[in-house]
Amino acid sequence: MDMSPIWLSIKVSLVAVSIVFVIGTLLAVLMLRLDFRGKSVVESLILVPLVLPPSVAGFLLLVLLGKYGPVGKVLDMMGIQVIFSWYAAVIASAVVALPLIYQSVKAALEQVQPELEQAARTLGASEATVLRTVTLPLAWPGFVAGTVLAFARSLGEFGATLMISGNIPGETQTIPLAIYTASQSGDLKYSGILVAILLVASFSMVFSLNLWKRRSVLWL
Amino acid sequence: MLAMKFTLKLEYFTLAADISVGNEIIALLGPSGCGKTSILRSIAGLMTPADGFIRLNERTLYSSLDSIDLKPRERNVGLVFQDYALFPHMTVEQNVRYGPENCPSLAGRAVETEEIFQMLKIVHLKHRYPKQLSGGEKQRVALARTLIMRPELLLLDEPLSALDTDTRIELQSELKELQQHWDIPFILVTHDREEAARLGDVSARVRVDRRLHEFKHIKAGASRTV
Repeated sequence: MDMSPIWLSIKVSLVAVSIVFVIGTLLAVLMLRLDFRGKSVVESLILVPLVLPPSVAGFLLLVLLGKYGPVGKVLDMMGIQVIFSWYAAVIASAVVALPLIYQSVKAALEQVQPELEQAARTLGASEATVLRTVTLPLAWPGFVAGTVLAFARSLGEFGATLMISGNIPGETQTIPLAIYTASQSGDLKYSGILVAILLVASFSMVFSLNLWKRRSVLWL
Repeated sequence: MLAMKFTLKLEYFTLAADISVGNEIIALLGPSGCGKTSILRSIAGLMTPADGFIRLNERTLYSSLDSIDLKPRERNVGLVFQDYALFPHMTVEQNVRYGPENCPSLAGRAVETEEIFQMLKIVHLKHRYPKQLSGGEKQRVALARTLIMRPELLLLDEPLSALDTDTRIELQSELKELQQHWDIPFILVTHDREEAARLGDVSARVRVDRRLHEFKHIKAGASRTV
């Protein structure tokens, strides 16, 4: 049995979630701290992949990153081809996973009461200490939830990935693409196995997240 | 000894405070929304006045003339928040030890943990989380967490308003004892005239003026209606 889609999916999701974790956290902190004109436009742009069909995101990325697209042209001059490589799968996953992390982290940071941070300051804590001992520990569950959801979403990404990374076996064929290809060609056994793997993986991630929330967070 | 005279721009009005306090309890009395809490926050360094000065025992905490505005962590002013602001993810013991453990510069002067636990009668609560405490217990923990740092001034925002009558009476007399033991100024904010009279050695009233709220000294007992 060809196991390559599984390793590829895990690789793509891990890289995508790592990138999105950093970007999503930075965006959440910036959007909470800054006030500027057009803030809600920017926020809507971050969130819109949640409601768009992935094929729309895929199309836009294709236009942007393709050989004649504004970003693709520059990359092409540098000798980098993104479209139809596994990097494209990472980008597709990242775009659809970003809103999930962004929302979770932002909501988690927002619900930390300012009084708690102020209390820490009056007790002599520096800003870095306040962040380390109060803000982050209180927002931590939101970071975990966002990361798990983003990872699960990224594992299941299909539409945008199909459009910009193609469906090249062994190179860009992730689990969802392999399921589609195999079932189209009548190989129900192989696609069935992959479906089972994805089901079990996604279910256990969401399930253990719920369990963790209830068990580990005593003080909630 | 605390001496301060400052103005503070709030959303709907400007507030003027002119108060000096010795080692006694002073009660800031006034209706809600008149800026009492903002005065406490300015003394603690969580808000910045428009101009004026705040001096505590020869130290200048704030002075618009000399461009001095110490950070909250440099002021050594204790503030007990209205809803106590206990850290929900820490046990009572971790809450109380927060200051000494996270503020290396002031940790040397901190009170022994055991001593403060006994003084505030919270020894048996050590391993509980804040959500497992009653209002009165939370208040004691919040006091312990603040007093362990040996503040030179203690600010209390509506310290008794959320408590039932029995607890309130108990804590009232304890606050007086604590003040005598510590021998530092206590400034407390309340909207309850009787509480101000019972607790405060001195009470400052808020003159309600749409443009300018003034806090000035009026001897307790000789209070007039404003």
